[in-house]
Amino acid sequence: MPASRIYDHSLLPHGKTQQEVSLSVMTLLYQEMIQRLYKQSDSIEHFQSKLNDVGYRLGVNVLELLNYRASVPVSIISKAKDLGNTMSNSNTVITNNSTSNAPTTSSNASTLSNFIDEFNSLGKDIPRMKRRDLQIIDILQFIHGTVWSYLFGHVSSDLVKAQGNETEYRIIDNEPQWTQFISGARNQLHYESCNYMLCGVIQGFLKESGFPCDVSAHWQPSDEQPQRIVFLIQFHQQVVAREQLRYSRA
Amino acid sequence: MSKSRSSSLSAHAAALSSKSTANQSKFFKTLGEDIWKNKIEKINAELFVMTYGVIVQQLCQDLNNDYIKINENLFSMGYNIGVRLIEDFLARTALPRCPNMTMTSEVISKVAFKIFLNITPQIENWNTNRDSFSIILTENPLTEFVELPQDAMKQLWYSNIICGVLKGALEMVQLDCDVNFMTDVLRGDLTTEIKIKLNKILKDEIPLGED
Repeated sequence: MPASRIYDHSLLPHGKTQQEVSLSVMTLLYQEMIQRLYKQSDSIEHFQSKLNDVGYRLGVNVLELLNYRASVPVSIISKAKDLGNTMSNSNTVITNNSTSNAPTTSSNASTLSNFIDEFNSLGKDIPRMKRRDLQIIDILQFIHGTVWSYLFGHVSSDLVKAQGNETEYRIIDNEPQWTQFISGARNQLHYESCNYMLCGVIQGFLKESGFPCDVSAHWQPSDEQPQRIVFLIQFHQQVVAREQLRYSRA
Repeated sequence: MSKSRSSSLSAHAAALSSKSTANQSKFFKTLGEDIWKNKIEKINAELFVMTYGVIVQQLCQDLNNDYIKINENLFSMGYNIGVRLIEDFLARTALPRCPNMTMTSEVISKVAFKIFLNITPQIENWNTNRDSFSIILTENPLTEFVELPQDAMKQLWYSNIICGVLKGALEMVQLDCDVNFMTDVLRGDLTTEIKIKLNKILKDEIPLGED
């Protein structure tokens, strides 16, 4: 199977059962990445910005993927699910072909080529891409709801607008998934810094959507939520100015 | 708690002493599925995959696309993960020591891969001494969304972190092994194959004062 097929295949929300991995693997990978970046950094700010950069890339990927999937018509998705299932079945058999007989293998190969044709035409089946959000509150709602649900399986704990400041918003996560095994009480600055990956994700997502901003993480524990993290989003002045020009007259 | 643990241990012992490999194989399969279903906190695989993707991207940038070095880096990251992951593995499965590599291979494919990545790769290509085998990854969650550029296709083992994890984890249970990728579908090969070869069994070092 040529490498490019794998790429097409992953773009759709598919019917394969393989959609989850263990949390341990994720947190260990995260920890290993943090350690690597930390060793390379000469100051905590440097470390934060490096981790932010990694998150930024991830944010851009998430933005593209979610928008793309939201643009695929429902009829195509259900068709792809069936094909996806056929695909994973035929996949197994093909790698087994040392033991299976020739006719089986060839019939599987033809299923596979049909499958590939279907996916080559995928782009043509999308009538138009989803419109991007234009207002601050819409895009933030999207992050708070859709993005958080996609990443962590639940919406973020809260989305708050700063009082008396047009440019500041807060997204709050009571139980941050990636850093849940890192202690906040032991070293506040380090704990906050470890959350800069997610700052990068938010920043990448917003910036690529046309909302340039800065994002920082702040540890604000409560009795029930010792890990509680507040992501402070500060939009650049131009974003707010644009919004006022465009929407305040209406 | 202690009761359920001891009963599961005796079930393990029964399976281990069982002569029939088919029985063993079935036992590990059920065990892996059971643990995956009931004892594992799960997260979105795509998030994990994309995170791994950006880590590799970052490495490529840091090391100026020196793919040999990137392979080494991924391996050592994996090694560090492996030496920790084995703790997690033993705590969840409560499996005793495997008497031979055949069983080790069964545990790796049916229990370890299952409970961490939710896949069950196949074990093939045993040598005559039964100390070297191949893991065939019929599906590899790490490679979703991935397409390698031409120059990387020749040198980069994109999922090399898995080899590191296996190396580190096996070493922690006294098995000194060589773990390498042989083929990878990302490079245009038909299968993805990891080869494990046992070098030697390390001497058990038990701290003083323990049996």
